[in-house]
Amino acid sequence: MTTQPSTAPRQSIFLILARSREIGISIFIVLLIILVSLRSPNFLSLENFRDILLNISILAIVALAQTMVIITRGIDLSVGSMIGLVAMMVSFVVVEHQTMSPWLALLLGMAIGCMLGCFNGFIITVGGVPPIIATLGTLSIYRGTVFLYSQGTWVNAFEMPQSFKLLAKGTPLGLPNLVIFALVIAAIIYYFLNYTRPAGTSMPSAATPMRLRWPVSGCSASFLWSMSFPGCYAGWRGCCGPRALRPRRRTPPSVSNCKRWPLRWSVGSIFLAAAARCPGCCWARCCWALSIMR
Amino acid sequence: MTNQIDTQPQKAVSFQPPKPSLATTFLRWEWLLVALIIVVSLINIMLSPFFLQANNLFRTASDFMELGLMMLPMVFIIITGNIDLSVASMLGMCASFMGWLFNNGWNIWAAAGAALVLGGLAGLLNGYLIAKVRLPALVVTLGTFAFYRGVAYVLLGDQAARGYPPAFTYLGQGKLGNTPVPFSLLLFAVLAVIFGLVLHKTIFGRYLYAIGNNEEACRFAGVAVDRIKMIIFVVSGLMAALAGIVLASRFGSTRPDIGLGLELDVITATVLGGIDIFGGSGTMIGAVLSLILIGIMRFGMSLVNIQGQVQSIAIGFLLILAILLPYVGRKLSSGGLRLTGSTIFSTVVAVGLVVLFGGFFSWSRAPILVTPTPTPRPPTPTATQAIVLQATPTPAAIPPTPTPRPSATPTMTPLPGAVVEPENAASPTPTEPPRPEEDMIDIPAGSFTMGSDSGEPNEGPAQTIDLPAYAIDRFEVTNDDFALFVAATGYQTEAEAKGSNKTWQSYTEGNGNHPVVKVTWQDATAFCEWLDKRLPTEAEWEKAARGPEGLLYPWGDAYESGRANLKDTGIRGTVAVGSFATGASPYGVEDMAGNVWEWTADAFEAYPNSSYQDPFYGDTLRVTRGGGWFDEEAQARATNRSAAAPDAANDDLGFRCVR
Repeated sequence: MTTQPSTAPRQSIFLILARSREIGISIFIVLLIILVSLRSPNFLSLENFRDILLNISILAIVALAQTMVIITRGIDLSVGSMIGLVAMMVSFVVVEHQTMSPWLALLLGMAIGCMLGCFNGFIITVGGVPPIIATLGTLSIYRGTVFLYSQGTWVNAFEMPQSFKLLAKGTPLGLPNLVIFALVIAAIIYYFLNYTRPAGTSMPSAATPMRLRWPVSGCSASFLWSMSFPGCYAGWRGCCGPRALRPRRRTPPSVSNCKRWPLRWSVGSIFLAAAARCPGCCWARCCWALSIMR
Repeated sequence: MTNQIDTQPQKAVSFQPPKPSLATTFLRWEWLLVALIIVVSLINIMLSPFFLQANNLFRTASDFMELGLMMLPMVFIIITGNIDLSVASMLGMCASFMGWLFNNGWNIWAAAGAALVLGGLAGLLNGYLIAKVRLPALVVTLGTFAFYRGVAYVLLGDQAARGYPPAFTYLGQGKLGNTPVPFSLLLFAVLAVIFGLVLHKTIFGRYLYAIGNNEEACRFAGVAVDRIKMIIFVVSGLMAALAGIVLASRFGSTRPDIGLGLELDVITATVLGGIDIFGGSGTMIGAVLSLILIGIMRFGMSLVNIQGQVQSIAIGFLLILAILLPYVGRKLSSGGLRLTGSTIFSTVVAVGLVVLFGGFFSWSRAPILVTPTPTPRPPTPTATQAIVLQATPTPAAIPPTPTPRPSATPTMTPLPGAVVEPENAASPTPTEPPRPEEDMIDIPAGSFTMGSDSGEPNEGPAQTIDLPAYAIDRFEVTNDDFALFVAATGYQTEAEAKGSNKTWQSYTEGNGNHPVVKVTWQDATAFCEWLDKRLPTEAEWEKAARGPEGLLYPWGDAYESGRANLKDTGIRGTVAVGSFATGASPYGVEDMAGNVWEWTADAFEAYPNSSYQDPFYGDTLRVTRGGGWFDEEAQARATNRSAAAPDAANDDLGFRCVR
């Protein structure tokens, strides 16, 4: 956020390289790939690459949305809890209504996620609570709600309709759906950040500090909106998650497992923070963020 | 977050504070906290007669001391406008480092000293990156948050360090003389006073506020900003290490996930104490008061049996309201709240969304939790329902029906636990009745420590036993499993044959995933034989529960509430198997402690080499293990032995099989 050099440096190649975070990260990834494949040769296998792609797609969906929040100088620590809650609720509904269209389930998940995100946004914009505190609070609230909701039960993969499970892991276009979702979302966010007006109103607020007045200004709406994004995508991810993430574990996709997620995703998204200017590089960043977490 | 300083001129350091009027003296944040503490205490006193007992209060206090120790330097850090997210990871790393050194033969005190040094170094790394390299504190400590926790896992892996000498565990568990005051409370009190004096009475403390208000101005004024930042982050590392030592000493063991997630609690306590998250204001007294408030709120809620996860909802709301209400109040009193269209609109939308969410919440979960239907999923009643089921003899429950029973198992639907995947369901072999899904855990051959010298006399002596490899069910046998058995074989349990008014079927309604109860030793044996399995011997059961390390409880050496379905959860009934995943044994076998007692194959006899004679020893009783939902921590110890007559059929007695 603050590492812009103050004086114009000489345009030597080294300095250009050093200044560009994208290139630094790319070099790091290449180094990492070389090192890891020296250590275990099957790292470079197609199978492994597919697994990594699947995993980073999940990360990318949430991190892309988090990017927008961080650009507005906010942060959303509650994404992990939101994912747990959405996953639990959608799973309950899907198991109860086996014939439900998976796309409807997806929309339902996004709707719930939007509600949770709007609640965050409301506390922040109208209530004047700093984002880090508001989402720290909702992190606990949403996580507790998962438990309140499920009373300690869980939903097994085999109880879900096949169509729902295929939503994430099906490969009608040659790639797993989850990867395609992530690509589509990246494209949407790229367009949104670079070519639309709400982005124009939320971006300057990153440069000019948010002061007491902005909650009631027109900024409010755009911030409210961008705050609801992580919720929305957390919802999406929540739908795709239970089966895609851990097919055989009989743990609820929620309660204890989400505890470490919010911070991990924040790590990912901080490296994504400049993606507005170069979203093409966000995949590289995802790889990087993921590789340090493994 | 940290870079708002130069743009907030209204916070500039003021050298002539305005004279405080009486109103401003009492309208302080600290007094609000005091009022809240009094209110919460009064509510607690009304709710539970146990609240005001000194022993309870002090024991609860010791649960929060690690949090408090880490909160003290966090106050410094947040006042300067920084943040340290890596405190809990530093705690984990230092405690694991200490345990690792101890496992490698170090003296425990030397290991503790080394852990403190490591904590200081970890804080130094944070401080260097933040103060010298000028990276934002949020980013740096997020990175080290992952890094330090990773080091903890590298050091200890999946193992636990344990067996600390009594002198060391006394540090965390002992009390001051004859009083109920734990050492850790005294330690915290002394340190809190020191930190408070440093913050409020020294130049160093004043610089902290100055940095939080305007860091650039401080630099120009010649304050050694970088050095001060380094110092507070090193102190944070040291205190995290100290908290780790205290925590390890209190638990009597260390696992690499020790203190996971505590950083959020630390920050919550600090912010609730009135310390501005953007720096520049706040007092140590406020932070200590907020720690007390959180402590008694959690204590009160656990006294009325609200689970920890649900308690965090209240803490979360408290945190948000603590910031939101004064803000709204200020706006109202200053007339600054303009009822513009956008404010009204967003408020209406927010209220509407909350209502919508609440409606969806109850609508979507109603069919699952309230009216169990024969759809294939694990239906579970609420905790209150479970209590009713166990406590009152419900005459509406299914009466004991003779052999052919059509009700319990609609065999055409794939049951939970059945291996009928939807894609395979089209071609089931008609001759083969469905069998329960097999989820067994392989226990490798090898020796382990059986028995304990410190428990009941019938558990001793502790000795090394060698067992060949075997596999054990990961969960207790469930009602659904047992229903499949009955459907396939027409088996009639002994309780049913006797015509008892309560049989295993009395507990199945909506509880398919709960462990089967009201089964005798013979019933259990018959079930296992149906699947070509058998009941575990005592040794097999104990090895699966304790792991190669010989833990006292499946999860470690110290009792931890909330890791098993015992009396203190307040559930007072069975729960779905696997609900307490954090209570899994090192091998991953779940529900070994709590939920229901489990039959073993063995008769209740003295261990070899034991001099103790029990009047109940002999061939008449069979050993039961693990404790049930009505039992306390002593019965849940993995070495605890209990026994029951083979024809006993209790509502907290089930089983699992081995092969």
